[in-house]
Amino acid sequence: MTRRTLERRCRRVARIYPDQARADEVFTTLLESNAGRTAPRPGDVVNVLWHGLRARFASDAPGTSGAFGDAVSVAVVMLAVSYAGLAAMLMAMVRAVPPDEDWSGPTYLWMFRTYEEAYATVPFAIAAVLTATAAAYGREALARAGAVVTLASGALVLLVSRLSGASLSPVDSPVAVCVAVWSVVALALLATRSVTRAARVVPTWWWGITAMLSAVGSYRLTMSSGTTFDWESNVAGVVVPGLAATLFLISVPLARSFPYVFAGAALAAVPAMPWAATFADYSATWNRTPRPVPVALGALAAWLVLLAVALVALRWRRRDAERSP
Amino acid sequence: MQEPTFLILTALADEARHGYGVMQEVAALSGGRVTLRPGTLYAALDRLVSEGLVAVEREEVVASRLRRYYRLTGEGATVLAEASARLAANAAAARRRLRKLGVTA
Repeated sequence: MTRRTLERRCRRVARIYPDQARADEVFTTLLESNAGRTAPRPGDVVNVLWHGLRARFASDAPGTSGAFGDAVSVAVVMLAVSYAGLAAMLMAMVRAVPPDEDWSGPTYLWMFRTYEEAYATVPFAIAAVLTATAAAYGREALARAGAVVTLASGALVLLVSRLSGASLSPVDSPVAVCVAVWSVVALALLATRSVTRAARVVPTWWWGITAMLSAVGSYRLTMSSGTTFDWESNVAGVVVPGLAATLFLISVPLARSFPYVFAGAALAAVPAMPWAATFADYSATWNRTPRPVPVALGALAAWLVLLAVALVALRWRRRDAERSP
Repeated sequence: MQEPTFLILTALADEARHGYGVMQEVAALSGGRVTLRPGTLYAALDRLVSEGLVAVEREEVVASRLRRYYRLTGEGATVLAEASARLAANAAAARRRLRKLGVTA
């Protein structure tokens, strides 16, 4: 009984290794070195998990599909990095927004107030980033499922907004209407493919972009419910989430190439996510920023700079990989 | 060359061993000072295999458990000999200086 319990526990730990032969080898060694115990030593468990994770992250060449565990880890890292990066950039670009007159606390705590609308965007962003991650890893079925979930969520928000009496005039929310149309087209195409069982025509990355745009559109729709805004807020409201979407896409190759850096950033940034969502919503759509258009242009410029940095970093990484013996 | 790597190569110098066998031999050679954990051991073995110092000699399945036996290659033996000579020279220099201080090592 003791030996079977030890075997089961050692097998569970050794499964962290992506290569089955290596997992079997580690299992055997773990079992033999912990003979007479009911469970492997904690130090051995931590040691095997650490090296197994390193083996997982190192097992795939950039751009190839990896294990599902890798995809989930990268998705979490991407989400945290993107939100944290977005919050940091907004803080850098927007001047301190004065709180309401009835706020008695410190100014910096004003941003920690919660808004229900802010949290409505988080599920869409999560669904979108998981979809994009799956697309980047070549997981066609998962990407399509994620795109369906995100598109359906966008359509649901559109319906709820309409029923609640929110303004959906093309003048007030042109982007929202365009994204709603795109969502309907995408759903129709998806349904057609399913019905006709057509050969692969639409590439996987299209599903990722569709999911991203749906998340952007859903974000705009939730913000427009009952709120009066102008074209400047529309621009800012599209560019800022678009920046977040680009950060998501950039983070995929970077997280795969520098997994430990991004894992550390995720651990530090995860607590900031709800606050970042609140801040993004508040400054971009409530028209409390001093100059929305410069903010949007600044976000666009930061977007392009980040993209250039990411491409250069990847280029260096590939060059180092080619040069190493 | 770090001490655990040196000891792994030394453990494989006289015969091919599997993972647990290497762990036991390293502990014996170091008098219990150096204890290798499985994750560290296999990461080191992978590195040594990629450097051509160690190679997989054979695989066995014993009681449904996989055992891979590793052996020292010719290049590995040369590198081990060079590292051993370096350590011996350093140790001899240290012993000479300690004798002057009246300390025997």
